[in-house]
Amino acid sequence: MTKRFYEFSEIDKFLCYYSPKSPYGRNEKEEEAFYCETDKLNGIFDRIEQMISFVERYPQKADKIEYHLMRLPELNPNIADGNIRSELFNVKKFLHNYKQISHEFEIDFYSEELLKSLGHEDSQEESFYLKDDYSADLSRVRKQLREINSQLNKSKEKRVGEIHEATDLDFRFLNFLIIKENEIPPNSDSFIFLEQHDKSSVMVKPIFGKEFFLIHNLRKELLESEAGIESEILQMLKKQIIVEQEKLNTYIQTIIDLDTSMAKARLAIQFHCIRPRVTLLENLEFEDLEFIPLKEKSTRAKRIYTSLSVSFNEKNNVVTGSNMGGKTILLKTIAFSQLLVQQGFFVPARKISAPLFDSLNLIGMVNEDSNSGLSSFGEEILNLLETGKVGTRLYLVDEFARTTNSREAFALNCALLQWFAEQETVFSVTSTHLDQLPNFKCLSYWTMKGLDYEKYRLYYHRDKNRDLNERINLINNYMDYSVKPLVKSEVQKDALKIADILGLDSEIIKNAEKYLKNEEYNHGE
Amino acid sequence: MDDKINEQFRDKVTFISGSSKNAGKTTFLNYLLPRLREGGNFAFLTIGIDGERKDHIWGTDKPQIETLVGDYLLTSEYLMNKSDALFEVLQVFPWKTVLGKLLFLKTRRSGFIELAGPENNEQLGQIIEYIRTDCRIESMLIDGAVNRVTQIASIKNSKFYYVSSLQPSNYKSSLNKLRVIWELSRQERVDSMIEGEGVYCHRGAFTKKNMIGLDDSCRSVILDDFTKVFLEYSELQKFLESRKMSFINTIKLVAFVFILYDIDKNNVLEDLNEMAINCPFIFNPYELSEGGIYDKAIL
Repeated sequence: MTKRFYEFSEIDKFLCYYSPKSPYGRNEKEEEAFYCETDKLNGIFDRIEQMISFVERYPQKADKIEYHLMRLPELNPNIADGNIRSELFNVKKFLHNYKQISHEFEIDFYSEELLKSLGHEDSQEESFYLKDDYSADLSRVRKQLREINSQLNKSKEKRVGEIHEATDLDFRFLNFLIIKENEIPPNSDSFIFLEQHDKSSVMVKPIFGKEFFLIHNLRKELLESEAGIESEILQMLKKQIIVEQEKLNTYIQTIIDLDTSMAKARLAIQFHCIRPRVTLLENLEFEDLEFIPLKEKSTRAKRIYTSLSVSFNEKNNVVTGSNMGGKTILLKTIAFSQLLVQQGFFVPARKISAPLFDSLNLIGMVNEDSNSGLSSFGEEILNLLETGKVGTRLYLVDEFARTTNSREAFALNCALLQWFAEQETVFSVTSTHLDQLPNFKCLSYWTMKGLDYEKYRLYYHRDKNRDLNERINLINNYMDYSVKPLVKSEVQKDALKIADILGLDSEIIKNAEKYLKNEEYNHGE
Repeated sequence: MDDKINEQFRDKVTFISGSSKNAGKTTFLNYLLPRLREGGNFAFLTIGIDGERKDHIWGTDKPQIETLVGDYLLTSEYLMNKSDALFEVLQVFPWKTVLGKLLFLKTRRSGFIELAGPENNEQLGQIIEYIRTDCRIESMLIDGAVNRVTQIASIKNSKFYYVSSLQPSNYKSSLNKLRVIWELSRQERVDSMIEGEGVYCHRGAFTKKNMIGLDDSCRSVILDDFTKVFLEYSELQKFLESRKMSFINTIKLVAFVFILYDIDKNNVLEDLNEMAINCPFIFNPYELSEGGIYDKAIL
């Protein structure tokens, strides 16, 4: 699948509503998986179906599961010593939330012992803290540290009180003060230490005395001892996690499946999507297929949106029709739908049958600037050269060679259609303005129904002042965007009417009609 | 404990920003912390990592924060491991900094810790959101390096103290900087960037070049926030003589905190008065006042 095909489909405007909650689900979304096997896809679709049923039947459980999915951290498979605590925290938080999910969704959870080792038993919280009772040594050294801290605080408090009494200097809230040089308290040498601050002030710090520093040094030794014991415990916990790594990987895969299925289920419910029927080498069929980006745009602009219903009876199909008749939108709708199917989503339609392709290819323009220095025609040839060469392929061709002269355009289109017909594993949908293209095997012709002449005749009045938006709305009101098999004698030519609605000078329209009549006369029409 | 101090900080996100690296922000933070603890839970953090280890107050290695049992703070795993305090890990944020991942901690045993913080606005916003919603802590003190002051604007209803060290060598330039901050902090807030007649919207940094490039018909400029303005005082003054400046995000300046070196306080007050800078000032918060009694009413 090419990037161009992806952009042409505008699928991003729909997938912005697809929101997996966990980092694993979000990573999966970023990967934009593309499936070509029916078994794999049907497995995904089965999960989505089950999830739709679960979400509709147990909405509160579904909400709770999503809450816990959001809280899952991403685990690092390699726990380095420098980040051991943060990784142990992450494992504990992961297991805590996975356990809650397993309870709601009734799936197995095998890591009670590990969770208990990580301190979950008492608090049932996500936080991580090496409690004293991890080991007798840790308990002992921490008790000593608490006692030492208490001694230090008392000693400090006492000393700060003595200094305050002797010098009026209050060190309760800060370890230093700034005072004027001429305000240094007399006889304070044994209480405070002085440092120059600027020309007229000094910084004073309390002197705590030998006893205080002896206790402080003992504290340092105890801290080193504590660090050593903690390190041993952390290493032991790390080993336990390594032993359980396979289970953790299983949980992660379960989360990916659950999270993505739930998010796809939500999307399907929101947009009334159905499960597609996936096939190999059968023809494309759609009933009320909705191109959501356009549907939403139409709703905002208060225009009518027409869904796509067509059952292509051949693998190659040509679609003709008036300007602004919906040919490009038809192709975009097919691109949108095919991508959804092959990325494992349900589709907003009443019914859809789609063959699976190894590659999806676009010959046509997308909304991007070309930096290659090629003309539009040059770009189209480049697109053709870059398409997949093997396997089953879908080609969507949007008015190929429209910018070159009409004779060569006709020749190129005929040749391309012939080539499509000769490839057994190529499917195509081609939009074109060209008339009288030849018949080939496995090729059928279709047309957009185009302007409803009756409505146009009854309701269109040229003289009214209208802005562009109103004119586009008019076209939208008169246009029938549905597609039907082409009967060659009924080819619609609506370009002049469209130009007229859009406001082209009436003189030009009249002259164009004259040329058209002459052309038709010369060709015996 | 001082109720007035508590009221100023309670349920607010307060930044301590500064005129330069090592102006005394962390020391001011240490000054405030003991006064706040009795008022309920609060969290303290820093924006990024300063990179310089000396502080003007101490003249030695950058001062650490003393954290007591029950304190909440943000730092990196590396700095947590270096600390003599004991912590419960409440959250590990997914982004990596040069000193490891950022952790939100609750202190289980008192000690000293150096803070590390997020590297951009988005991360800071997510951290503050987590602290508010998961931990239900609304009061936060954030120590901000001067080159990260832009981040203040990303947090709604935040306010800031501006710490400035004044000495004879930088006195004039520091005062001009203060004047710019004072003027900018007083400009009005608008709801959105909508251009109109005489109204021009500008995203990103607003410099002298941008100012010169304005059309003569431009009467008003709307910017993201005051931290995007890179003008000297004289340039700003010239701008404000004929035009208006507004911001999408405004931040309340609570007070200037001055650390004075060989500068007389009265001279500073006189100069500030002349400049019509009319906001609370705190001079040398670590200085003993006349009566020999530590004056808590400075704030």
